[in-house]
Amino acid sequence: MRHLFKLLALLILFFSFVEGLTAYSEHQSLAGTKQIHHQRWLTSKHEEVIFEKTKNTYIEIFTGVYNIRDDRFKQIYKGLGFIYGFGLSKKLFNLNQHNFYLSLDFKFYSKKGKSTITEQDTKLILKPISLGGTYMFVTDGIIPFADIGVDYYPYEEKSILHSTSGTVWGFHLKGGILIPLNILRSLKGKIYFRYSEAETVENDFEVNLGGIEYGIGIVYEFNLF
Amino acid sequence: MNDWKLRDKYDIRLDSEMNGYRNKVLILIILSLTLTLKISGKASILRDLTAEPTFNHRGDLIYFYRNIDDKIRLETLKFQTEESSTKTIPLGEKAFSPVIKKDRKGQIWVAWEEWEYDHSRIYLGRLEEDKIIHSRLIWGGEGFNLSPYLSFDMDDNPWIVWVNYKDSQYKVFVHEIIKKNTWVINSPFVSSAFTPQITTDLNNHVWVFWSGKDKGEEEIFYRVFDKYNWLPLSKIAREKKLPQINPSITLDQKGFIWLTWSGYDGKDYEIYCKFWNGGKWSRIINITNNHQRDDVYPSISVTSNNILIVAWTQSGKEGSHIYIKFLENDSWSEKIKISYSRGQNIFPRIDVKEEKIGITWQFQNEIKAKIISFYQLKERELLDESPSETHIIYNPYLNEDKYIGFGDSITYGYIHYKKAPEKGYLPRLEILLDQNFGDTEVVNEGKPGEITQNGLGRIRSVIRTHLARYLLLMEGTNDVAFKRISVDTIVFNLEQMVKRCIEFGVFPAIATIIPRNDWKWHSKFFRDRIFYLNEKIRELASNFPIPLVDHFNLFYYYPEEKGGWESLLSDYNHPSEEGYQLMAEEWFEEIKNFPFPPIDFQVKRAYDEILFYKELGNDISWEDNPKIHDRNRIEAYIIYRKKIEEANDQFKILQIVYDKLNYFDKDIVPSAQCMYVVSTLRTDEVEGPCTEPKQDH
Repeated sequence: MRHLFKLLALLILFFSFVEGLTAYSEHQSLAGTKQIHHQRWLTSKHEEVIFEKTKNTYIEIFTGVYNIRDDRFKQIYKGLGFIYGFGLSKKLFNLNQHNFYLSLDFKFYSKKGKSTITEQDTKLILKPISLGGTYMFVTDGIIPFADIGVDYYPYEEKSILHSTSGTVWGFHLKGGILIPLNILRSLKGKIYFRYSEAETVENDFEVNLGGIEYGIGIVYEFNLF
Repeated sequence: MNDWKLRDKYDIRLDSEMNGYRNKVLILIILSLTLTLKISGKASILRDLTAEPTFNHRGDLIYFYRNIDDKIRLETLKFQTEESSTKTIPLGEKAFSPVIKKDRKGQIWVAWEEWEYDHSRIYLGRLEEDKIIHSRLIWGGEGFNLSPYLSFDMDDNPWIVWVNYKDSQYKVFVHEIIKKNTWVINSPFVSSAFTPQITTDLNNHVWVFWSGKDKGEEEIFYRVFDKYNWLPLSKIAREKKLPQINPSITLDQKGFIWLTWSGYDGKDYEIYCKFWNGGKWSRIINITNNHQRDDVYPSISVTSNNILIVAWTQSGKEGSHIYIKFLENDSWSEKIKISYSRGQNIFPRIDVKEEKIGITWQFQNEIKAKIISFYQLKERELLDESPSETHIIYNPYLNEDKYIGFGDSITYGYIHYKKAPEKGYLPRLEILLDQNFGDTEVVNEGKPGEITQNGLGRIRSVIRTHLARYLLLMEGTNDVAFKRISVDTIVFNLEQMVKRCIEFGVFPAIATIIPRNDWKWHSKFFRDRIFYLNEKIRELASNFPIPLVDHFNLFYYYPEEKGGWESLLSDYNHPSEEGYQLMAEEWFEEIKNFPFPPIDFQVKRAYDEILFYKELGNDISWEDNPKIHDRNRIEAYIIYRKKIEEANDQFKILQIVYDKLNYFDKDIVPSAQCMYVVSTLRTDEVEGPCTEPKQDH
C-alpha cells in the first residue's frame, strides 16, 4: 500500500510538472501576440475564471495521524499512528461556486503494539475504504470542503497470542481546505480533519476502530470525460 | 536408672581448656581417688587415641591411649572393685594408635604406628607385665603405614593388616608374622582404603575386610586367604550405591563370621550386619532402621554363650550417644543406651570375655570405659527408655534475617584453646550484617570437638530449632585428624548436611577448613588430607552448587610481610582475633552476593490482552532483593508452581525468567488454584532460597 501511495505521488508530481511546462510554454508564446486574450483571461467574468480553476476530477494522496479512540487500543497500541491513502473525486454537479463530488478513498493503517502483560508483539492493520459525498466551495483562493460518507474497514490483528481478521462498517465526517499552489496550476495542497466511527464486536470485545484523523495531502485535478 | 550400677566413673579426661598440665597433677591425684582422672592437654593429641579394649588374664579391661605428655598409657579397669590404674608404656614419642589383641593363649599383643615427617611404620610387640617385649618392625616401607589390626590363626600365629598410603594410593597390606609373607590385597581398588579388619575362621582361613572404593561411594571389600592363596576380591553388595563404611568383625562360637558396618540408606546412616555360615553369606540384617538419626562406628563381639553384642554411635538432636544391641535366640534386643554425658560420644570399641562386656569410647576430650555383665545389660534393656523423636515444627517460612553458623570449635570461637565465642567470626559477621542489611541475627551453632558425623546427626534439629533461612557450614577440621575417617566420608557427611539444609528450605554456604599449625600439618599424610578435603569441599560447592567461602586460601595466601598464615592462628588450630575478623569479612563478601529471594512477590489472576483477544493466566511479578550487592551477578529467576492442594515437595519448575521481573502463567485451569515461589539464580548457577509461597486469586 505504501508503494502504491508513493507511485501515485510520483505520478501526480510528474503530470503536474508536465502540465506546468506546457502552460509555461503556451504563456511564453502568447505573450506578445495575444495580449488581448491574456488580458481577458485575467480580467474576464469571474465565473469563467472559476470554471477554468475547478476541473471535474481530483486524484489525491494524503497522510495523517490516526488516533483510534478505543481505550483498550490506547493501552495496547501506545503512541501516534500514521495513516496513508489516496483518493479519487468526481464532480457530480455544481451550482455556481457550490461543487458536489463523489469521493472514494483507499487508506492503509498499521501499528505495532504489545500485549498488556506479557508484552507480546501484536500488529493491527486497517485498510479502510471510504465512499462519501464532498461539497466544495470554490474560490480563486483557498477552497473549503466538507465530506460525509460510509467506511468499510477490513482489519487484521496479528500476534503470537492470537491472530484475527474481519470487517466493520462505519461512517465519517471530514472537513478541510484545498490550498492553491502557485507553481503548478493543477496541484493543490490539502489539509483535513476527519472523525469516524466503526464499532465491531469480536471475542466479546467491543472495539471502535474509528477515531480522529488529521493530515495533509496533495491534490491533482484534471478533467475526465 | 539407679539400678544401673556401673556408671561413668572411670574417665580419662584430657581437657583442652587447660593449658599447662603441671597444675593438673594435683587434680589427677584427687580425681584418681574418686576414680575419675582428668588430664589437661591438646585436643589434637587426644584425637590419636585408639582405645581398643581387651580383657587381660585377670579379667580386667585394659586399653591404651596416648596422653598429653606424648606417652602411651595403659589404663586398667577392674570389674569387681571398679578401680582403675594407669601406667606408662615405653613405646616412644613417635608411637601412635596402639591396638591390642589377645591370642588364644591369652597373651596380649600390641601393634602400633611410629610416625616420622614423611613416613610411618608398623610395629608389633607383646604386652607382659606392663612392658612391651619382643617388639619388632613389621613394615618400614615407603609411605604412611597406619591403622594396624591384629588377628591370630588356629596355631596362634599373629597376622596383621594395615593401610599403606603412598602417591595418593591406599593399599591394604597383610603380613603373616611367622612366615614373613606380605601381600597387597586391594589392587586395583587403591583410591581409598580405611579401617581394615582381620580375623581367622575355624578352617584357618584368614578374612580381611575394609572400606574401599571402586566407583561411586565407599563399599565394604573383603578377601579371604585359604591357607594357600588369596581368593578373588569381593564386596558386600548393596542395592543402592551409597556409602558403606566402618566394618567391624568377630567370630562367634559356631565359627560364623559376623560383619557389621555403617551404611547410608538414602536418609541417614544405619547399622547393618550379616554373617558367613561357612558356606554363604546371610541376608543383610538391619540393626537400626530409623530416620533423622545417624548410626555409625559399629563394633561387634560375642559372649561365651554365643550372644552377639553390637555397640555403635547414634547421633541425634541431643548429641551422640553410645548404644548396644544384642542378639539372643535369633532375636535382636532393643537398643540400650550406654552413655549419658550430653555431647559427642563416639568411636565405641568393645571386647567380651565370657559374660563381661568391656566398652570404651571417646567423649569430647575424654575416654570413657565401662564393664557390664550381660545380665546387667539385659536388666538395663528393660529399664531403658527409647529416646524421644525430634519434634517437627511445621513452618515453611524461615527467618530471612537469621543465619546459623554451623561447625566445630572454630565456628564456636576458641582463642588460645579457650572459649571465646564473643571473639569468633560469627559475632563479627553479625556486626557486618547489621550494618549493611539492618537487624540480623547470627546463631552460634559451633560445637567444639565435633566431627562431621556428629554434625550430620544434629543439623536437622538445629535448623528446625532456629528456623533461620541461611546456614554457614564449616566443618571437617576435627575429622581430618582421625585416620579412621576417610576424606570421602567427611565430604559425604558435608554433602548430606547441605542436602538436609536444602530439604528444609535453608540456604547453605560452605567454607573450606583453615590450615593448622600442629605436628599434623607438618606430617605429609595429614596435610595431604587437609588439601584433599578442601579440594573436595570446593567440588562439593560447585556441584550443588552452593556459595563457597575459601577460608583455606584466605589463610594460606595471607601475605608473608603481614606475618603469613601462621600469624592468623592463636594456637595450633584456632584463629587469632585477626584471623576471625578476616573470616567474618570473607563470609560477608560472599553473603552480600547471596542470591537472596526476590521481594514484593505477587501473583494475581489477570488477562493478557491484545485488541481482539485476551488470555487468562496468573500474573507473577517480583523485584530484585536490595540485599544483593552486585545485580550483574543475577542471571535469572526460577519460578516454581504447584497445585494448592499438593504438598510442598511438589513444587516444579515452571519457568526460568531472564531480564524480566514478571511472568505470565497462562497454563492454568481457571477453576484450579496454584501456588508459586520464585528464586534468584546467580551467574555461577547458585540458586537462592525461594520467596514465601503465593497463591493466585
